[in-house]
Amino acid sequence: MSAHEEIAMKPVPQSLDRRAFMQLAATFGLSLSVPSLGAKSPALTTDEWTLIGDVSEVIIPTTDTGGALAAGVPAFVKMMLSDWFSEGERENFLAGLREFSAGAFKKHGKKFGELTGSQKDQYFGEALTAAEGGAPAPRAPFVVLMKRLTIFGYYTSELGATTELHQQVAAAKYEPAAVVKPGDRADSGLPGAMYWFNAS
Amino acid sequence: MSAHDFDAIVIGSGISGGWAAKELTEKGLKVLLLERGRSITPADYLGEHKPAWQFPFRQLGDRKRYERDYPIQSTCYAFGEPTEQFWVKDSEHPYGQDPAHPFRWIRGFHLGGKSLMWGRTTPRWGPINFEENKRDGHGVDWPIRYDDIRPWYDHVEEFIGVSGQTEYNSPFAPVGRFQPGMQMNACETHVADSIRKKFPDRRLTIAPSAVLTQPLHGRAPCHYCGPCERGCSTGSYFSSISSTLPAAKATGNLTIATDSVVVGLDYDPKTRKVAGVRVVDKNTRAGRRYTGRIVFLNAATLASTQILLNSTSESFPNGIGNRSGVLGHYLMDHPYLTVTGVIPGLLDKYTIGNRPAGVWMPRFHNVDGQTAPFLRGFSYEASASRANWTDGVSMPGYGAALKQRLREYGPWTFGFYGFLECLPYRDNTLTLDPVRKDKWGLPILNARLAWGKNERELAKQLVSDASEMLQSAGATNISLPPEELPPGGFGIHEVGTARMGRDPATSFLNGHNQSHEVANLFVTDGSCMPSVAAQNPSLTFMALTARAANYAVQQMKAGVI
Repeated sequence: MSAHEEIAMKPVPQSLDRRAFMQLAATFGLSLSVPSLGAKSPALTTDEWTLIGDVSEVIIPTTDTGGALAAGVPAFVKMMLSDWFSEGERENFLAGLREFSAGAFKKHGKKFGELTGSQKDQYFGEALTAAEGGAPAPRAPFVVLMKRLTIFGYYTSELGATTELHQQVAAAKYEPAAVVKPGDRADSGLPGAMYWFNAS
Repeated sequence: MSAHDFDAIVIGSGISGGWAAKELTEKGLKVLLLERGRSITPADYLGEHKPAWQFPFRQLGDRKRYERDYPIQSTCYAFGEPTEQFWVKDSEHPYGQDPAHPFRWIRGFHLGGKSLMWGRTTPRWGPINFEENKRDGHGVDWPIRYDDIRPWYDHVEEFIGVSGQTEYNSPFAPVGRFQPGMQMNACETHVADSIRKKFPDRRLTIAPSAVLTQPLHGRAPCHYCGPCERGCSTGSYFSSISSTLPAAKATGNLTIATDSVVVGLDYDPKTRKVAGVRVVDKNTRAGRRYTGRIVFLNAATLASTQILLNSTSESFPNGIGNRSGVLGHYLMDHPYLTVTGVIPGLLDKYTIGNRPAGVWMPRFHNVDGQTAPFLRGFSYEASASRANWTDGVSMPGYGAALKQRLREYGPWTFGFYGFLECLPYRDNTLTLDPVRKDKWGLPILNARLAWGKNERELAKQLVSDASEMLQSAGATNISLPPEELPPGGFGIHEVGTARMGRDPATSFLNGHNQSHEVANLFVTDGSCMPSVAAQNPSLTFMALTARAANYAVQQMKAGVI
């Protein structure tokens, strides 16, 4: 059974609709409006930002802990697109986003944001499975980039690092063979210097 | 005496310079410590204990600025958003590289130098390391033997605080004056036991490390946060800031001048001594000159060599003290190769605390004479840890199932990080650029480091031995390094360009790190080493510094210098 099938059989329970997203954005202080960004910010429509938020929540959904939206992943994606991606990487991402969006409309006759939770999940899942199962593309497809961005943005957020996972900053002791107990969360790590991200 | 500004001038405040300042001030000398960079205090440890979400780029760093300003420094494992204030901007500090044989010059220009970001693994060198040049004829004979440096290893270890194991006394890592060692984790213990069953002469132990497990001189034992290179406000790892400079200051004999770029040493042919140290202010670029009875040069291998080469006079047109012509030759470093594997099992075990000491395996080839088809050998640093969420990007799937999977610890990965001994070759050089100068008027340095046949043979053996040992522990997914050796400088163990030796015709320094030609000039950083061994070099040049300082003061008291 592929990972995708496993997930398709267990639909993500709380894929957020647009309204919930806007509420969460307000709650967590996310800025969704393009004008608040710097001059070099990518010109994305509100629908496109919503799609990014929806997709991130499909990748890391709210379960018994908050998901990607609660962790502010869209703001992280915005920062990465504006300040970290190269011009070529950004163009690739945006072209992929628009293709993904158009594909959803073609399939369902609706904007991605208007699909039900399980439709979003299934549409994204099929695209990701195709990308992960196929030959490596010269440039990472949109769904793969969104997965990388979401995982990175989520687990380096305070919610992801300390609530979803466990963070020990200074244990003041060293136990070389501590025993993992049921329900223990993995350590989110305080790595030395620099993380690594592949945007191409 | 009164004609001099200071009794001693120490150039550089890093690992060896801090030691020179401490020893000379404690022996009663008035010392001027010159540092080309800014001052540093623990308040500058901006990344210490700071979680990822508090960095603007979540520890990915400002990629575009790094590409522009830090293209070389950012290749160092310890460089990043939490540590970037400790590294020089390559854009402001140019140097030249041979395109076919490049060299990565990793640098930190600030009080304490690379002692803030260093790796802290501090094995002694063994008796063989001081004899091997003579045995196989590569490089000049070390003018000292293990017994000459042994008491100085004791002295340094006791002061800086080295934690380490004391059960296994390797010929390449004699047990020293250690604090209790940290412990190997469950996976490392499993791998060590598996290796020992199959290869009884290969011992994996906790590495001797300059991190405290007991209080020492007002410094607290380690609190196990992990990434030492961010700085340590409890002073638990050795740095000039935590250890040697406070001791030097406490004597009342130390003057520190930061932002002081040394551009040359003036030579007086009548006295055969350094007559003065020429300095350019980093900010105003105004020139100054200081005089001292003796000069300790501790700017680190490349910068010290640059200063010496730039100190020309009628007597020494090719650099002060360079009658032999060896200055700037025989540059060495440790090619550094990584082999990793996934160790199955032990899934009910993890670690509490982030241990800052690695494990390591001392050299095991050519121990009892020349028995292998290659010369010398290599050692491994190593460690094991459990995979975490960063593996998520390479796992298939998404959604609640992926989230659940990343909530749990992943498998154990064990990594060998091998350092192999590079032989000294005359063609591996540092030279001054005939045209280009930096902002302070110093000709820029050109570096070239090519590996030879022996290094390539050692590298093959290093990789195959590591794979075999991982297999003995049941590893899967063994990952090998590229066949091409990494460029020089990658090991950050650069040494050798102002070497010690017995013969003034083939070496720059004598057995006390004193210039053969210039009686009051001592060079005690890595540039003094006639070989690089397969161990980390810092403890050895700390011990050489303390030994040389003791000798210099004796000579001063005897009126010889």
